[in-house]
Amino acid sequence: MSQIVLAPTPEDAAAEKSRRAPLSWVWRQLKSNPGAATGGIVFLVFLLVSLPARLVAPYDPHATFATGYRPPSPAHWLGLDDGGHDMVSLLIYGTRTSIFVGFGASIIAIVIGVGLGLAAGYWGRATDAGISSITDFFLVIPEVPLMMVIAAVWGQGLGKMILIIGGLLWTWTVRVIRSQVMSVKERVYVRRAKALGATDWRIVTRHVLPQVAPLIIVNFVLTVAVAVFDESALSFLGLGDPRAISLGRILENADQGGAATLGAWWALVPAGAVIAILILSLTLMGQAVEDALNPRLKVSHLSRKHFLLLPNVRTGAGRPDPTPGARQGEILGDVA
Amino acid sequence: MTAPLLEVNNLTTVFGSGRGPIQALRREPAVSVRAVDDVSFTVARGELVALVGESGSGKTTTAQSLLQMIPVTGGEVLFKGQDVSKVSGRALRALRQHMQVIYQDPYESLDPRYTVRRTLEEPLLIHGIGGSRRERADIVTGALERVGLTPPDLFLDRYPHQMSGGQRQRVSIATALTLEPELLVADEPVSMLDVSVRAGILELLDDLRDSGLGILMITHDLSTAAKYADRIAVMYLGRIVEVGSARDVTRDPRHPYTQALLSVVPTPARAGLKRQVLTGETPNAAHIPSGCRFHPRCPQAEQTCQATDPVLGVVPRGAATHEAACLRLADLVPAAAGGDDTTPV
Amino acid sequence: MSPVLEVEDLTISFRVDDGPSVDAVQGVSFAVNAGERLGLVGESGCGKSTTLFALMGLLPNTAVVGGNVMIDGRNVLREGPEALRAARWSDVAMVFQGAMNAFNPVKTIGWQITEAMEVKGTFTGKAALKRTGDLLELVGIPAERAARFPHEFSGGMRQRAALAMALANDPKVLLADEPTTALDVMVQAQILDLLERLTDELELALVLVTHDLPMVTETCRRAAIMYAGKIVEEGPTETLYRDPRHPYTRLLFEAMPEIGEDRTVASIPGAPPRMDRPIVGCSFAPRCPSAMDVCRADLPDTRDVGARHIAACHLNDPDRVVATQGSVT
Repeated sequence: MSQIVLAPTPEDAAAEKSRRAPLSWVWRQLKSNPGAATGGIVFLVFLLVSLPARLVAPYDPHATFATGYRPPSPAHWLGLDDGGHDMVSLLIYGTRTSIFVGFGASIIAIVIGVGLGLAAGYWGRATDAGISSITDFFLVIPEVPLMMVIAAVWGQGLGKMILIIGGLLWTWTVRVIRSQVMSVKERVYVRRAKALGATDWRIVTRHVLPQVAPLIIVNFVLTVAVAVFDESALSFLGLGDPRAISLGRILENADQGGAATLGAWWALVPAGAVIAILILSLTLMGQAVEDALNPRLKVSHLSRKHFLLLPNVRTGAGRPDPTPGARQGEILGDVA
Repeated sequence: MTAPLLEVNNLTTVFGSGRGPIQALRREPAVSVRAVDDVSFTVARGELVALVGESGSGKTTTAQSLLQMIPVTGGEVLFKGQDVSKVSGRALRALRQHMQVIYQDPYESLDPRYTVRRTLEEPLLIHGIGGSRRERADIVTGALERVGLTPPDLFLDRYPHQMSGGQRQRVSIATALTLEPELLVADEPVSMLDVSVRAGILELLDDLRDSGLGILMITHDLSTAAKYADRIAVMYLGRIVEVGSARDVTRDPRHPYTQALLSVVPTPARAGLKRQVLTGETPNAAHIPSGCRFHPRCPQAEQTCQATDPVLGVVPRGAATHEAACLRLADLVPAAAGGDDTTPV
Repeated sequence: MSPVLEVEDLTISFRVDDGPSVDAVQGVSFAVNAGERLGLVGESGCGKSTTLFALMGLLPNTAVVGGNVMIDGRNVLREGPEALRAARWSDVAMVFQGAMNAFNPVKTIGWQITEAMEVKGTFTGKAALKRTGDLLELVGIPAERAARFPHEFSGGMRQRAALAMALANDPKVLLADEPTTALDVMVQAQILDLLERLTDELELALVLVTHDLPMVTETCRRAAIMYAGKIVEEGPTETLYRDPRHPYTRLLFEAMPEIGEDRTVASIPGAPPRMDRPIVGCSFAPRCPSAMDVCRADLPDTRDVGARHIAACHLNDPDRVVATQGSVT
């Protein structure tokens, strides 16, 4: 039986290849989403500046240069805090700590959240009911009092903070992952894999997880943003690690040292600004990843060039055809 | 004669939402939907049986029950003599090697992240077929050739979105074939494809049937069933109301529902014929009418039809394999058996 | 009697950000009289639905539309977007595929039908409510169901309600885009019967877009076959069946199995051409079993081949020597 096959033209093949090359993909994302690109670049700057803190910071943050607040000067660009420490160095080390806590807590949150979300979404019913109850329980736990209790009983520390923040943040992830898993589970190709005889493990790891991966990435980035904020808040309230320098602690210090009344803005504003910009850049990055991967959540690997641009969404017999008006990334009409 | 490949006896599938404490307090009855009610049929090797019906007829639920995608409430499903409605776990997975499904939606049945090669290899990896990469590659190319996607190399590295609906459906069929199944369940295999492409897929199924596979095809399209099926079973509201050879059912329909269905199928060749358009729609399976479930819409209904639920019986003056579930079979025999006056074809 | 709807040389292109425009509809012309039903038939991607959307002014603004569309003598396309918007739902109305999408799920059916009238100002207040009830009865729905929500209706009833809503302002032209595709065979028959009755009683001009050619032969007296943005054949449905003058028409009929007919079912290998590239010669040539050299080189003219029957195929060219292999029938 003959079949006229339209082989992909050389241009199609080249276009497809370039679409998949990671560098050009990144470049195209940056081009199409400037806000997100900015976020990514800003965060990268923060990362590059704060990670090698010892190399980048002008002074040892613990070194004192005076007995109290000093305004910005050529030697100390952002002045000195109430203990005479160089603000710039403090900020650099502080940012590193905040990022560290943010990522640490997020990883815990994601691991727990994805694991539970997958289980609840895939196996449903009893498992879902159980996990949902646990999630609801954790949702209600207030962070601050919990930290206070833990601080009182076991003392304060970075590690404990990471555990607490992560241990409470996963609830958000569970919900999101669970819904997505539930929807992917119903896709025909997943049911087909089951009909082929695939084990649950195989289905989850080979079919469900890849579809959910983009969502996990987005969720991770956004969770880091939240974790950074949480850390700042907790440290500001004095529940942070007293030995660590974090952005929240810098703020706490400034508050304790009466920076506002004394007019020592350099001890207060830069730290707050860094927190805000850090969180903002993470959020923008998260959105960028979501936008880039979003069409892929539903209809992956689509390029408009391959299809006819008509207001009909995949009109085949028997398929209901919703609204007219072409939307980006939609399959419209079908060419071989 | 050897046992049929697939023998379904008194299959019943009931969806019950049961009732929670609140409903019990309110004395609301438990909602139970008898989607499939006492259905029996067989599929032999090298035979294509079409299960025809509209939405709500229970045809899709029947197909899904066969593979235990939906739990079976009653009856038995015998595959090569063995009741498979009760197996689970490893036995069920092994069974799924012999019974494969082709789904309706070619756009959703392939994982968009997998190339054709990977999609085709998956069943082999699941069931441990083909020890080496070489062996698997051979099976995969063989399957592609069998469904007409030649040369196979052209398709192996493609992603689903780079192929048309018809090609995707062929890939689905090829995937099923890698396991060398004995029974194929095709759920509306062409309803989402363009008209010009349908015949190709149906001819492929035809070839597979000729090569010895048993095929159960679920469809709402009587014309397709008439052309490609060896036998047709017409379902209404969970029951088989008529069954027989494709020729008998389409040229000499005895059940009023079949007759009405046939009369409304557009046939350009006889464009002037009177259509028997039934009023209303198929009722909800949660509220199956008493007596004969078709009686509220039946143009031939009488008093007895409200009270008694008919069973399948051989039609008078027809083939022995031609059965219909109607209380008035004897009254409604057409003037010349083989159909002239009462049948529109 | 002049046609109520006249489409002349309609062209629709879509601008694409990073590539050439897609010419979805390339010079389509047809006319429908009051009380007449025209079937616009083709497979997915041929441009039939796009054509309908142009008549309603529902295309996205990436669309570039050319040609003339006359409704009751008024050229609504040339008069600017206001004219199209004014004509929409008062002179020309549409029923879509899968009526689930035509209705707002949180408003009752009755409310939505009444709204269609009040927005256009044709009926208001009590008169509108009365008319809503009448319209529902007209399409076979008991008037008291106006107080129900869309999800309480079955698929077939929703489609009837969608028809009622389309008829709210007494349009002269009714466009139906695959109105029965998602419905059961019996419900399909009911809706088609209803469409027939309504077009006869209300003297509507109906354009029925579908891929189902046999359905068109039963319901419409005339049909136009579309392929790759052009009409390749148009004429009385009876004639198209018995004496098709374009290979695509013939193949479309042959692609549907018919009960009682024992012929082979045709499939058309290949796929429609890409619409973002210029096509040399006849767009169907690559898939046509009767293609000749001239088909690949020259675009065929649209010729008269019978009473109100036109076709665009070189095989109808009287100057060609037609070998038996190249004959259409």
